[in-house]
Amino acid sequence: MAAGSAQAAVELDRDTLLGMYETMMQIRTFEDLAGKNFAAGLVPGFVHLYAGEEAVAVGICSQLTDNDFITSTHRGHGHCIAKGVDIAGMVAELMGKSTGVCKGKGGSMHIADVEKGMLGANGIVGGGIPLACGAALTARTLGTGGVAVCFFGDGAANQGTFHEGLNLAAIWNLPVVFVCENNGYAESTPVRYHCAASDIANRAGAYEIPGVVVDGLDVFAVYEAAGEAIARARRGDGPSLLEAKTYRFYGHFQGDQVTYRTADELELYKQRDPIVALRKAIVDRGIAGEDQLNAIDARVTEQLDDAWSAAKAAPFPEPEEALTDVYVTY
Amino acid sequence: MVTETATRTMTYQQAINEALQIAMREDPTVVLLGEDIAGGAMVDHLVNDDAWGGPMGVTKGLVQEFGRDRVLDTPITEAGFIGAAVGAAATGLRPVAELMFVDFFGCCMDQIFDQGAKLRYMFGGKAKCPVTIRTQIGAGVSAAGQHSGCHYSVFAHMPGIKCIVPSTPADAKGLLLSAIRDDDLVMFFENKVLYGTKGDVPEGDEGIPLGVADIKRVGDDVTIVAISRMVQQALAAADTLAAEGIEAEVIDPRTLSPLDEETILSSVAKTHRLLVVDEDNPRCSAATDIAAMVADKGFDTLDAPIKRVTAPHTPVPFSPPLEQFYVPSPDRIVDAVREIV
Amino acid sequence: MPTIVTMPKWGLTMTSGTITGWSREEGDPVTEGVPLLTVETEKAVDDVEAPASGVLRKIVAAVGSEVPVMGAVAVITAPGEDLSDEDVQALVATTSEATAAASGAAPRVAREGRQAARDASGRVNASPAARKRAGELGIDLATVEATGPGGRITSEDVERAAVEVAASAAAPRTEVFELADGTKIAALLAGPADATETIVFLHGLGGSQSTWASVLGHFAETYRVAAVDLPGHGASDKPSPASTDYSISGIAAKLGEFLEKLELAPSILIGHSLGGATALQLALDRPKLVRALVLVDSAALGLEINDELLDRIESAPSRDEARRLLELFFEDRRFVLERGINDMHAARNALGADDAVKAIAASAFTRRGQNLVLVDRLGELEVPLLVIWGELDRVIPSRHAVAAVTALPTAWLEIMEGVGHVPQVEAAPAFAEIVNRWLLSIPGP
Repeated sequence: MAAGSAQAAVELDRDTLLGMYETMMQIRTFEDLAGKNFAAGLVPGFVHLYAGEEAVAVGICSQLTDNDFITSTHRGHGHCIAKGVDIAGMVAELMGKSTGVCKGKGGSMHIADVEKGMLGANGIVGGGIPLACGAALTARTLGTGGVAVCFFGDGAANQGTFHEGLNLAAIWNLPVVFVCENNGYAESTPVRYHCAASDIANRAGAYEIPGVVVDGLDVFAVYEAAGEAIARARRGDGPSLLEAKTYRFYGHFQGDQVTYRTADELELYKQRDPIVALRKAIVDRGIAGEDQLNAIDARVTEQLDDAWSAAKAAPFPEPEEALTDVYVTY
Repeated sequence: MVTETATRTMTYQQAINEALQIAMREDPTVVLLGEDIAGGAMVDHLVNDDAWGGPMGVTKGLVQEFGRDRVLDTPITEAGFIGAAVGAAATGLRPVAELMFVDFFGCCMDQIFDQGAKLRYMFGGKAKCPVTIRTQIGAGVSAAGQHSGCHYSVFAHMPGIKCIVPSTPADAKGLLLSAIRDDDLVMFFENKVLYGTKGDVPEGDEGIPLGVADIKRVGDDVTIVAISRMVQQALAAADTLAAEGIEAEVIDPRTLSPLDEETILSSVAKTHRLLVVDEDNPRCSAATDIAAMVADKGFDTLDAPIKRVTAPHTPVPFSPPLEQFYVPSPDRIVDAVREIV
Repeated sequence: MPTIVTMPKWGLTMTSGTITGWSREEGDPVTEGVPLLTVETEKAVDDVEAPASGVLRKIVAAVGSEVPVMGAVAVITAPGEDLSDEDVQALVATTSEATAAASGAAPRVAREGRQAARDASGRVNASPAARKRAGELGIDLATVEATGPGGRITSEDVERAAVEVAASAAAPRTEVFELADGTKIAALLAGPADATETIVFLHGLGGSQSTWASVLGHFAETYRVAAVDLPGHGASDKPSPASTDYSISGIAAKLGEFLEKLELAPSILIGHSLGGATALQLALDRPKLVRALVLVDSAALGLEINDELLDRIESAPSRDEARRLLELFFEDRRFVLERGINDMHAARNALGADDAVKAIAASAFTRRGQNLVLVDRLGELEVPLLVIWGELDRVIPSRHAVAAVTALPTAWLEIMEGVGHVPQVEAAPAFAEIVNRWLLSIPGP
């Protein structure tokens, strides 16, 4: 079943809408530049780009505070930016510089900022699901009023941790929102092959918690469905599962030849670019004009360019840094 | 050094229970998670009472005092609840999770190793994971291949994890208090055969610092480093050897990570001979780790090769005579000492 | 508490003694300090005093038996104390074991020492600790016996070897030194390798380093000692008088060269009779080699010398002559031993010895007196001087000693009562005590 629609746009105020637009642009620009600079050899290791999925991260995280925790995946840049992690620090972290948000010790797949409620991108598929349950347990035990939002992919929905996490959250009535970002592929394998459920949201029924399918390319739909789930959790009514059907414009990782998708399919989804759709909705409803939005674009571009310049100029950590931060004391 | 503390005789198991009680009283963020640690969850007449208090009764009585919001029975879902303990620790709780038997670690290794042990480091030191995982180790009760292992070397091997192997009730209490108060991920290995053993345990809430070995017996002729229950085996062997005029020094490392290298090296500098007794399997064992360290840093003090007395390279057998053969005995320790003295 | 009477150790090289008489019988009361038995060694004969008062319960070694040093010879019980025969045997047996065991450091766990194993390339099997210790102590692993399993040398084996090396370094051994002109000088060396001072002992005419045998042990724990055979004597070369300067100066010069060869710091010289004259000449000629001087019944301190000595020396060296010479030397006739006579006779008849001795005597002495008198030059001495003389010396009169200290008032004088020309043999312990006491009193080097 689908939930939410563009009609809900009238209920969101101007600041929220422009804020969501800017955040989505930040994510898109960040990812485009990351892909470009990765190809230029400036980013060691792997990057997994979120471009195309911005509506899910932004539609949900715009409703969260620093008091709420999120867990993420290997494709975590979007969740980090949406949750408020410092963008310049993220760029430096991608390059492994000492000014990185994790001091260069985590890299793309492990960006985190616990102060901002970001419990980390995660290199293990499904690894963040039990962690999110833990964060929710803390919120409930300490009475903080916070919720935990757990982002994971369609691939993770088959991991043992998915089932253990949903079951545990259900029996303990934890304030957690499980968000499955189904972008149709677990690496190179289509979801129609790897998943026994035609809608992952149906798995919620196995744990007797609400499960809804959401159009992940429609930020308003995401916003509305997430709002309900978050409110549910916050008032103590327990966990929910959202399945956001979405699409990633890039491959699984940068360097992926993406032979498992057709150019036609990609073109189809590019027509449904969530940022383009939001931009149109903002202009159509007279909330802001093209110039204003272009100005936001320019500001974002400058912000990202500055971030990359700063990161390129920043020093690498001293070798001895490798030996620190393993323990609090040893 | 310190004023005389009163002690009472109690079992290893009771000492652990007392430590948990003290920790939970002093810090409201300490919560327990585990399978059947209270037992009888959601049973009407057991709302504030335990059915089991843990499979060995170690956590008995705690749910009565602290309630089911702090003594959380879990489903059989190791990845789920160990991962939850890690996530909770990173966000402000101080959980003590029980992995019922160390042999089950395969079900939750990602949560311990790739998440809990590493998040502080990968996040540039900007997070911490103050979780304690208690788990049973040891053979000797015919629990067979999947419920009798030790395997602490697997955890000691991992950066970000601390490993504790207490051998006496007093050590168990003091070290568990320190483990819970510690801000890092600590694995606390309780030898199931030792649960019923008795010893003097100090009153009060003083913890024993991690990374400090204890010399359980002083001697001049050979150093025996013994892990967990092997301390008792080594002391029995030392009595036999004393009758032959060989005085063994028995060292209980108490923690394998961090390891008190200095105490071991000083002892070997005195005795010139080292034997390590480890109930675990030999390859890549804690015994091997200690032996290599001494062979490196204590090379010039050695008058004989370093001997390791360990279990064989097999799973733990079921039948009692086979299991007895598996676990290092005082006789095997005596024989090994005779080879090098 | 029973007391075990044991064979004493008198000389540095004494290993056993023969019992020549008991002054009491079993069952007799004995008094501490009173002579109980008489013992004869290669060098001397003397009484052994009872170490305790009580009853002589058992004589373990009868007259004529040879007993090793520290071995049991008798058992004294306290008055009224009862000891069964078995108990006595047990006591004696324990003493024997202790004697045997005291000779070396035993390994902690009794294990036979054997030759260390070697691998195919010849490398000695030694533990890391042993190798390190051997390096530190300068021990060659090839010489160390192994007690470790598999023929492995342990650090304890190395420590034990080091103790043995030190002990043998301290143990007396004869070494031969070749001078520039090819003359070989023999000396008995002993004492700890790390001693800071050396005492050089010089015997008299016709004698050898063995004259010092009973006293060396009293010095060899603290000092390095070198008891030299003068040219023409003992185990040293006895070159023909035609090609050799056998005057006192000539001998002193050779001695000076010997001291340089030993590479010693300035030594303490103790010279007897002609050896004393030699030492004094050297101290005057080469003061840098000498740090202190002890003259014992010494020549060169006056004119007089007993003609009888010259009679003996100038005669053909028969056994009878040897005996008469010894009778001239010793006041206590017990010291004129058969063995001593034989030794003297053999020494006098060694190839070239008689010619050498006669040549030295001819140079140093005439019937009108000594040719070399240095007493007036004593004031030139830059080192402390001790003069010891036997009161009843019939070879050189004791008034020469008085003259010496009159010439050098800072010198010490000891006249030993009842003793003849050779106090270092006749009253060895007292002699050693005098010298040791004096050495402690003089300023350090």
